[in-house]
Amino acid sequence: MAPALPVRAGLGRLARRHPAALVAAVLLLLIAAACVVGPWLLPHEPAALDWDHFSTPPGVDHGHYLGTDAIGRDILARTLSGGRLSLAVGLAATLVSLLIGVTWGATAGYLGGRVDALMMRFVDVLYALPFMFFVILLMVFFGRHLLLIFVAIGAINWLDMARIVRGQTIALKNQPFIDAARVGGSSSARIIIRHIVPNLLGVVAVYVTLTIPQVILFESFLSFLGLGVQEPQASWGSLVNDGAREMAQAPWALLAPAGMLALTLFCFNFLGDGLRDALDPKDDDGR
Amino acid sequence: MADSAPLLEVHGLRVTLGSRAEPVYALDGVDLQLAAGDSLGIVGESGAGKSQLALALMGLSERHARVDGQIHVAGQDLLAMSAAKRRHLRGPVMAMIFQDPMRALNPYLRVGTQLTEAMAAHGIARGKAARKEALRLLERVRIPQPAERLRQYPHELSGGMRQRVMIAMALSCKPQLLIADEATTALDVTVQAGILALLEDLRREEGLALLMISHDLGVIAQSCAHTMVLYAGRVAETGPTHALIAQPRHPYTDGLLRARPSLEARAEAALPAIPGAPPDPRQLPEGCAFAPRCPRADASCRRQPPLTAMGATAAACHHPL
Repeated sequence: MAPALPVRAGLGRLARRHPAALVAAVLLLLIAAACVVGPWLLPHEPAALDWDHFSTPPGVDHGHYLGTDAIGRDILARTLSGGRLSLAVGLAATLVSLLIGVTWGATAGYLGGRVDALMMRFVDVLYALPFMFFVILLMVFFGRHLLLIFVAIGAINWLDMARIVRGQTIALKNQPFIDAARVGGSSSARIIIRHIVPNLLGVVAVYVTLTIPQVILFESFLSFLGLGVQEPQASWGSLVNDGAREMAQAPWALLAPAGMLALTLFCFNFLGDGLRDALDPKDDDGR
Repeated sequence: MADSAPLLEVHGLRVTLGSRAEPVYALDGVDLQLAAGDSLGIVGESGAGKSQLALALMGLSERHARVDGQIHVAGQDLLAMSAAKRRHLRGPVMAMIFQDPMRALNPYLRVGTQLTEAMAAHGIARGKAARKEALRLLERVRIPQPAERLRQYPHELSGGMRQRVMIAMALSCKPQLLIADEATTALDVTVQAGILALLEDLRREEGLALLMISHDLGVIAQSCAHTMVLYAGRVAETGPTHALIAQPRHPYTDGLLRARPSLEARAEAALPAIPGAPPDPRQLPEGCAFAPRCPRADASCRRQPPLTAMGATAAACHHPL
């Protein structure tokens, strides 16, 4: 599906119509690059303790640009390496929910009838599962593991995706071009892959940009509850949690990860807004 | 291949919509034959069952529609075969073009991709060979700068151009039968003439059997050797086009012919429209469905008139003209 997308034309249009979306995209790339590369370049290990600087405010002369936390760990290093984890969870869980959700929803919507009813009732049943309970159960049985967070979040998030995709598919499948494909003798699988899915991309892209921040937030929430990542590993959520505890003495320990988190979420939301327009080849302004 | 057997043979085709308790017959007992290289036009008002006929032939009827009767294409019984087998006939044996070329092309796929799709689905050609064939097809339907068009998206083409692309798509697997459902209705008159001329060429040069569906008797008269007039799901009259137009037997055909504007008529004269409206298919009158609108109807029209040969054409009427 990807090669058919008018990506280049899309980017040009994105820049002209949604400068905010373009700025958001650039910012996101910068954030991602900083999180991936940053921890290697910084002089401080994220878990290393600096015995001379406990709860030090931000400054240049002591080398901890964003200060340290109560046990002398560099906030900048921890924020960037925490960002790695938060972004990875966000992307991986979204990818999982994207793959399952689009496949499931498009199949149910296109085939319709009894298959559709069965597949969507299954989704309803999963919906009814209390999610926190599910996560806690997983943790109890399998221990706290990063992979489990992906699985747990992905397993719940695809449900929304499947519903959205199914709805769109039902609207799409009565379009004449689907009939035209059937007239050409294309099989159902082929029609779903070649005709339905590309037409869903706009909606799905927007939903993905909304899902990634949602997942990042959710991971933060789990970490905040102590169900997420384990010390000394950090994510933005666990950093916010730590920072919140010593907010009165060392507000910088809260502001740095919270600021990054908020900035990332804003960027994704702006990006999603612009992407929907940019991915629509019909919608072209005087080219 | 036996040339004597027609390519398309339909017997007693009935398409039932609605529930079992209250069946609605979109088509009721339609017979037709079409030989290779021949052309048949189907005319009728909205709701006469024209499109249901096309869908039933292609096997694209709604899920809840029941299709009974017999449809033979190239000697194969379509209604007796599995859906999967039938799918393999769509493309290589029979193809269809649609009314609205704006919406019958996938807006997200390049023209070239859509053109090669059916070939790939049937394993006829892939990759470079398919591209080459696509180029040849675009040349065949007389699209200028075909190489450039292959890389474009549907929205970058005009309506007529898109309909030509649709025709090229339909031809991509070299079908023997082409169904055109209101293929020119959405187009300008000049563009329409171009498309009709193209279809005529294809019929002549490639021996394609052409089934044209239109509400416009003019379009059919211009392009089809045979014409069938449908009314409320039944055949009102059928026969060679010139005979049907020169001497219509069924009052409905006559009404259709009179209702066309002519250059000779005085401009201020009102067009002689057929009074009334097409019947509600859920509440068809008993007997001849046209009787309530017919100037010649009497008590005998309460019985369904059989399709009877009258001179060159056959009409279903107790009181033919």
